[in-house]
Amino acid sequence: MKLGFAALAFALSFSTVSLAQKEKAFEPQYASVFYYLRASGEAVELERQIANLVPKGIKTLYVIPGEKSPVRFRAGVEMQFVVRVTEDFDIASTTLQLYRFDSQNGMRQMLFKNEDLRRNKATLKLNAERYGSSSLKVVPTQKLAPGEYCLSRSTIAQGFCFGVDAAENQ
Amino acid sequence: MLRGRDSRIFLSLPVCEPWPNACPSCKKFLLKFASVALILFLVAGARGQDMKKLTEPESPSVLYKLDSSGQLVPLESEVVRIKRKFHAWGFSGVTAVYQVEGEKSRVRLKAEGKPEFVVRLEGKVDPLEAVQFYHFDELDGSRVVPIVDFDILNRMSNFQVVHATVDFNAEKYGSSSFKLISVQVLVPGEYCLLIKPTNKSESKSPGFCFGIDAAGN
Repeated sequence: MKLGFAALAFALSFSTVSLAQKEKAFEPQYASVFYYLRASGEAVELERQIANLVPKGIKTLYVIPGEKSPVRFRAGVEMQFVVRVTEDFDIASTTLQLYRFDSQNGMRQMLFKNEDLRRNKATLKLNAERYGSSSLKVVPTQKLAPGEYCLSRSTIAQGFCFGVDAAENQ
Repeated sequence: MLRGRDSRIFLSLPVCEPWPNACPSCKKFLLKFASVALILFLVAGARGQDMKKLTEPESPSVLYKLDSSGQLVPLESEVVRIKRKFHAWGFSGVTAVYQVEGEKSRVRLKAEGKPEFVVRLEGKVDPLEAVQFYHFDELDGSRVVPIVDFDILNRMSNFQVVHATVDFNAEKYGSSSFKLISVQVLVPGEYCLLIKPTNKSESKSPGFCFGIDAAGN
């Protein structure tokens, strides 16, 4: 029976290792959906929005309902986000965008030249590195000042929004 | 190969009587064998469930409804054209619309939460980029989605398409397909999923349409 127990122990350790590997790191289930990644590895859902576009001549006004995002983080902390991508990593990383919105009249607004948006020049700077099997870890190059932000990709209509509050407000 | 009562070699095949009459060492061997077989069976079963064969579309860029049994149900295949609707012969501007012939789709689904769709996409394409999902209005024998208004000087004045956009999630499905799941519950009405044309100047796209009927209907 000893060998039987040995086989059972082997099989159990095999399945435990497989499960542990599955739980190693959070990776988003859906493509192009951004999550905030806490230092502990826990993922936080962001506010999902599709901005309304208002043409203003050579510029476009992006409008999101609600003056503040319900998802709030504290300023002064290095923030990291994760997004699953389907394209090659080097191509996907050129499509990443982070915009800062102004809160006005119960809405979040952002006005940019169409040309800058087309060339993805209006985004705040981001670093991206490979994360898990099919995702990118996205880190703003500078700590984010208090305000309203949305992450997106130049290829999609969806934005994933959050607010940053001054440290003393938390 | 060793055999007999005191055989201690696990992988040897002792010549044993059937179970009730088997000697103690044969019984031990059979128990070991049964326990290992059971473990292997359970492990294989668990892995097999993970790798269950999924039905994928044969052709790329064709969307199907995924029913609860995992079967692919064809949608109404249509050409979605971009048309211009003139207001007061153009003096009040123009609205560009997506238009599909026929006021209602012949493919009807029940209002039952968030339907799922499957599409095979070639290459490493983001389904959120390649597929567009709209809630159409029924208008004068056709289905339309207003895209953008132009003023009398042909300047864009209002993007309307956002209001008709149905947001969806996409996850890998099988080897080269994606499952698309609407984020919101779909209300009764007419819907089409469009495959974005690779050529931006193209004024038509393949569309896969269906209607949602209220649960009582």
